[in-house]
Amino acid sequence: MSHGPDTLAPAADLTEIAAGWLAALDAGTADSDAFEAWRSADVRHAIAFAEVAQTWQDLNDLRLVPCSPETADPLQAFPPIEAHRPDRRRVLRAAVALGAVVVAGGGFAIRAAARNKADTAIGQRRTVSDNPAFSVDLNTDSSITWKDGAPVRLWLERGEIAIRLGPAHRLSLMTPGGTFHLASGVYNARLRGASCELAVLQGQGTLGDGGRTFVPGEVALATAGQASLRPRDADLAADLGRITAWQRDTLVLGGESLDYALAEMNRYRAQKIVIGDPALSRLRIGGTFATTDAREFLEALRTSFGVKATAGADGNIVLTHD
Amino acid sequence: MSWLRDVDRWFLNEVLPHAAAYRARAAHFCGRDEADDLVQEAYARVLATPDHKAIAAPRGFVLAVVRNLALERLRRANVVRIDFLASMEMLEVADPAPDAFAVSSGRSELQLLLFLINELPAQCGRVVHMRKIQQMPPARIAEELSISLSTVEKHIAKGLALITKARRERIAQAEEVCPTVPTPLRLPLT
Repeated sequence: MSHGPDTLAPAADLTEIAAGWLAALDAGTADSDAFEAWRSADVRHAIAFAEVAQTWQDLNDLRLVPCSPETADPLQAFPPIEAHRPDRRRVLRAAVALGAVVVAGGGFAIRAAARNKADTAIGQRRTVSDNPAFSVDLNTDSSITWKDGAPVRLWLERGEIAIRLGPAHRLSLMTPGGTFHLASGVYNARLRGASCELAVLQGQGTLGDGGRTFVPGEVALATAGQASLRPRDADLAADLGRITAWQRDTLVLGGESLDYALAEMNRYRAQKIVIGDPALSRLRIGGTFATTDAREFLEALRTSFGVKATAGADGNIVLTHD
Repeated sequence: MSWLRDVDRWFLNEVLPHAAAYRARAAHFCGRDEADDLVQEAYARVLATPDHKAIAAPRGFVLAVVRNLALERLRRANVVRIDFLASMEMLEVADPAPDAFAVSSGRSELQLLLFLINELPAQCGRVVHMRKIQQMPPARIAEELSISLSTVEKHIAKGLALITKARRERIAQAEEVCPTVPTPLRLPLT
């Protein structure tokens, strides 16, 4: 072993790295040669690993702790974290027929690790419908995998999707925020960080087993296995239009800030539009814009607010006062 | 644990249990900001010793290493606390007994671990609970929670790191029992 105090990573970082190695060893997924190489590379790696191993070993003693309400049931032991309030009002109304979906790019699926997989790049949209039980539209920069069965199991790994589930079929939607169990119907699911927002257009669903049933017109945000419902909006039809607008390659804005509008528009663009003048952030934008071409959006900003768009050498567009 | 070597087990059993004492001494000399770094350096020196089994009293040995490393830093420093040298002398005999640094009994240590698991983010704590208290294999946890095995690994790693760091912080708090040098007075070295 060698050591060099001047080239050390912070102790906290080493602890995290060491814990990662131990978790991989525990799961049987670690490359033992790579682990030994890492541990031997620096004596402080060995120290960090020994320290997390000590914690790991001490945690074993908890097996012997008598069962109590706090320790017997992990669901009771870990009460739900307080779900954050949504920053955008979105509520759907019940029993709304979904319009015909424009299919751009065509569907595809490949076999990978016993799961089917489909994804889209930035600016792409695709439909997967190789299974009669369900079809899925993928919005820009999205990725899913799924396994056929009863129920179908579908993992939303990135982005946003619309799901249409045929009669008498069920689907388990696995997301970082928790697992939704869906009956036949129409749904929109979008990842927001470690949470997942599910809108029920038709049908019904629950989060986890025995959770509250979400009905058409409700939008649930799942975070760490717990759900919070978005407040209902007075104008349900308008909100419905916004939530499904991406399937028509459009972005519907109802007075949101320019910050929000750009975040939404940039989802569809490799070259981003950025604000060059902080005062512009306060602008409120309304209207329907194509997501496939930003020129209409930028022209609206210029004519309505005198906002100038300048393209940089890297292709990004900077907005400033004209 | 098969992935621990002899030297690791020795380190865990003989050296690490006295971490609070090392850190207290290091903090006394160098301040709390540098204490962790000094202790880590001492650990590195100890583990680099060709025959660790020849160290009869690991606790005293590490404390001596901490002191020597502090002296090395003192020599390199261009400003020094005037009371520093006096305190170096004082600490020749001022090694508090191990009990003075005992953070908790075995029972309360288990309670602390339970508390720390409960403090973890919900899903992370749930996975750690299933793995360490319910003793469920990682693959079964993945199945139960409908998440991938790699996600289980990430939760385990995150929880383990957070608990380890929280315990280290608790050890740092124990340094309060160590006598500290009063108001620092700084003079340039000549």
